[in-house]
Amino acid sequence: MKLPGIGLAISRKRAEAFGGIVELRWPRALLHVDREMMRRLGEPESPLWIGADDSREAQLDGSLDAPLDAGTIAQPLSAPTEVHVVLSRRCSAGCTGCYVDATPQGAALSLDEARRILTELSQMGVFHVALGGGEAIDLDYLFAVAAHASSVGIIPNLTTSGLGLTPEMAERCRAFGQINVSIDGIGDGYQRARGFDGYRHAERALRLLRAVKKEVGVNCVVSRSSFDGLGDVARLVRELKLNELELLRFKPVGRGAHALGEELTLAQSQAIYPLAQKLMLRHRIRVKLDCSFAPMVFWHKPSAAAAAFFGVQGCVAGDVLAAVSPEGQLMGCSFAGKPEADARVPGEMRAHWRDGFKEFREFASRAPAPCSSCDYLHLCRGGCRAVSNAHGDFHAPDPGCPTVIAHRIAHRGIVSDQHEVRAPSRRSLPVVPS
Amino acid sequence: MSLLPRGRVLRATFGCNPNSSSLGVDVTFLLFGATFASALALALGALLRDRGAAPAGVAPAGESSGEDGSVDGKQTP
Repeated sequence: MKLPGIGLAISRKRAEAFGGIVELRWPRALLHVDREMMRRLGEPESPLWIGADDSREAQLDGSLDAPLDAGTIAQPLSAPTEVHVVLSRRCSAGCTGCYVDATPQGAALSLDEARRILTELSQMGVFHVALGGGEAIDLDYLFAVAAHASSVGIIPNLTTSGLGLTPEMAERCRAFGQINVSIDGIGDGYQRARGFDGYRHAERALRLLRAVKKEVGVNCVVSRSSFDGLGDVARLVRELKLNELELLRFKPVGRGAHALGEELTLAQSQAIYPLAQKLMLRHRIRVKLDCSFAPMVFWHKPSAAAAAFFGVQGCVAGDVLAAVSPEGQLMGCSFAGKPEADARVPGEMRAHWRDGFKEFREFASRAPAPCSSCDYLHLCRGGCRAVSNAHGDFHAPDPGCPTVIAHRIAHRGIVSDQHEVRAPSRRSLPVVPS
Repeated sequence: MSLLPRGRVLRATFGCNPNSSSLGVDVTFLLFGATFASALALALGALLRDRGAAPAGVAPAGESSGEDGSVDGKQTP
């Protein structure tokens, strides 16, 4: 089949055991394809292609074609597709829930260290990096880091509070792929969530950035107290013509570790996925939920086939995702896990990728109840390890998962005013006036 | 014999993720369900196969290749 007039622009590709990953420049996408497609695209036979094309080794683990059986350990990718590079723990905003516990004198990677790390990530085949911190735009070498990432074929993306962003800096932000500004509430809602009055600065930054590029969005941390303000944030995204709203689950890590009371209630956890759909339809904006929300999504039993195809997954640390800390440690995730390698030492990241990260990768094969009997285990992967770890057991099922809460009520008799488990609604979405 | 064409798209994720946590759920796409996913897989597969008919860069075994033929596919986005 040929569709004349429509072309896909390929930037890069890399081999994987199942075939490979193709990066499209337009539309901006990563496609996982089988071996035959890689051959058609000119890729020579890869040493990663063990066994016949229809063998178990050639399946994409976790996809609907190849759900993981109990006891099976997922075959990790040959390298992460995206890496969160935490450039610094340096920021003067002092947000109450900062997950990296940033301070004005916090640690930071040097420019040379950041460059060397990006070069090695490129050699490993990493496609995207998310640059953050701390407040990355406070670093005078941020744009040099972004330029280096681009020069080695990696798309640099950025999260910022927007504080201190000038028109000149906004112009230079063309160097980034996607830029999201952190806004956890509108007006007073921002101050309640972050502990200081920075909303006007953040909105100004959004306007400055949107004036120079389209790929600008909002990151919104969803906590118990910010939940009711999500509609206002979505409205802002629509009004400023931003390209996405990313909803990030509050994780009790860093300074947020002392705010367990900010975790979502059960009712909020059950409502977040329908609410995201509603916001998408009402405001006609793109809405994303981060990986830690996977249990709350799969509780509604969406199509597993669609979820597998669109890469809807829970904890992908040490597989799709990795992180580099300001101290130079390679980790599975920015929020949890032990350091696996010193990323500043040439070759260490590549050397430790293949056999490391077992605490993340082996969860599905050793999952305790109720995850072990959940139809979505191969996709959800037990929810967020960082949240489990914050509650005292890295290897336990995500304590915020509605299914886990129902299981605990049934088996341990744990009841509280937050533990009213309702069946997911099977009704159609309500019609919402625009 | 499978009716599916050889050379398939198995998974597709769109856009770039600027966040500390990985992109988990793109509500926009998940809402459309399995039928849309299947149709999109077929369409992308067809477009990629069509793209593959053109000469592509060749890299040594085990290394990625860019469309410009450069090893590691180094390219400014």
